[in-house]
Order: sequence, then C-alpha cells, then structure tokens
Amino acid sequence: MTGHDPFDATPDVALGRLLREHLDAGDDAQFLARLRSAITAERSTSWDVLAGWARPGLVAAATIVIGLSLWLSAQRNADIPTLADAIQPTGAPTRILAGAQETQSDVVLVSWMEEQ
Amino acid sequence: MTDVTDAELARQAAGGDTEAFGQLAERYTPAARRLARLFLRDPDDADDAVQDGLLSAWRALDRFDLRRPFRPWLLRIVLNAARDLRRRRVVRRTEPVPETQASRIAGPDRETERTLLRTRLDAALATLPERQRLAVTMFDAEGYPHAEIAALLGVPEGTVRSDVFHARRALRKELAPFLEEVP
Repeated sequence: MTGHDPFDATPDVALGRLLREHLDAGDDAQFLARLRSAITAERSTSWDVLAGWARPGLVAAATIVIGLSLWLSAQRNADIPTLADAIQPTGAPTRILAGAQETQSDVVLVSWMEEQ
Repeated sequence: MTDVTDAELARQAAGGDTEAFGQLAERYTPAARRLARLFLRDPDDADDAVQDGLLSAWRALDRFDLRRPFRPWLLRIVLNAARDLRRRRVVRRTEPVPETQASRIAGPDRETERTLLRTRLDAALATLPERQRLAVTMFDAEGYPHAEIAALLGVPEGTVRSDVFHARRALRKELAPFLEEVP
C-alpha cells in the first residue's frame, strides 16, 4: 500500500476492490429481470398506443375516401354533357332541346313545320 | 454470445431486438449501479436512476452512432438520469449503502470488520468532492481510461488525473489498515 505512487497511471487494485465491494448492489440478476419486464411492457404499451391511434385513423380515412368518391362521382355525372348541351350552339329549336332525352320524330316534325 | 461486440448488439437492439439490449444491459448494469450509488448515495434512488437511464438508452438507440463506443454513451445517459433524479428529490435522508451479499454470509468477527470498513469508506467518500469520488471509482474500481472518464464527466483529461490523485491520497489515508489487509 505504502509503495503506491499517487500519479500512477494504472488502477490501484486494492482500492478498486474495496470500492467495488462497497458499492456493489449484489442483486444484479433481479434488477435486470425488472428492467427486461419494463422494456417489454413499454414496447407493448407503445404498440397499444399506435394501435389505439390507428383505429380511429382508419375509420376517419375510410370515411373521407367514401365521401370523396361519392362527391367525385356526383361531379362526374354533372359534367357529362347532355344531348341538349351538345346541340345548343347550333341553334336547334327549343322544343327539341326540351325533349332532348326522348327525341320523338313527331316532335321534330312539328317543330320544323312551325318554323316553316 | 459473449464475444458479440457492443456495436453489433447495439445495432440489433436499435432494430428492436430486446434480447440484444438485455445483453448490453447485463454487461454494464453492475458498473452503472455502482456509479449511480456513488453519485446519489441512496440505493433505491440509484436503482431508479439506472433503470430510467437504461430505458432512455433503449428509446434513444436509433440515434446512437454505431461507430462510437457504447459504454461511455450508456454511462453518460445513466449519469444524466441520476442528475435528473437528484434534482427532483428535494430533501431525502442519506442512507448508507446496504451490505453486500458477501458480508451477509461472513462470520461475526468478519462482519464487525466489514461494518467498520463500510463506515470508514462511507465517511471517506463523503469528504471527497463529487467529481473526485466518481473519477477515482471509475479509474480504480472500474478500470476506465482517463480519456473516457474525462469525456463522461465533461472535464479535461488532466483534471481527471488530478482528481484521481487527490481522491486516492485521501482514501488511502482513511483506509490504510483495510488496504494493507487486502491480499
């Protein structure tokens, strides 16, 4: 002991052993078992949280997709030109336009006769 | 499995492998607990801090640079957890470090001697500034190089050498009879 140089750059084995023994908790296995449980619990909790977030998220996303599909579908139908829209610029008779969905020959004939 | 490097285990643990992290924890928990006890001087607080630190390390593994050594990174997190815990504790009675397993199975004479040693060692450590306590324990008890201790404590290497020198001198003076007995 007395032969130790305080500036010695190598560890003091005797002092080190005393310190280790003094500070050792002695139940590392139990501590590690508790730590592993805590990590496992935290991991499963994280997944639960993610799953908890995911469920309402999926419902919201599905609702948005369905709503958007319906809206787009409605928009598309509204944008499809009817026969009336298609022939209006040509100056076709109003009667024809009114009955564009069911173009009956007598209506066309009457209309032509009126113009004559 | 014991020759798997820290870096490899850390890489696996960062990928979510709890078993790999368990092995890393097994390697460094004894030293981490000793340092936390030295720092907080309360065994329960020390264990809380080490557990907090290890859990923080587990969460932060994806940010760990695998090219750097794992031990200083982990011990720095544990020491930070111990500092945080100490800040949270307002006033708490300082309890002596409990007896070790070895002392519990020793005979009456040996037990008396160990009790005396514990008392002297506690008193001697209590007289040291905190940084000296940590420096001498990390150097002499854990065998860490000066540079690593310096990085952990955030001081120059020369300061660590000086701290170890002063702490050794004080401890050797107080513990001379016990140190002479150590084979």
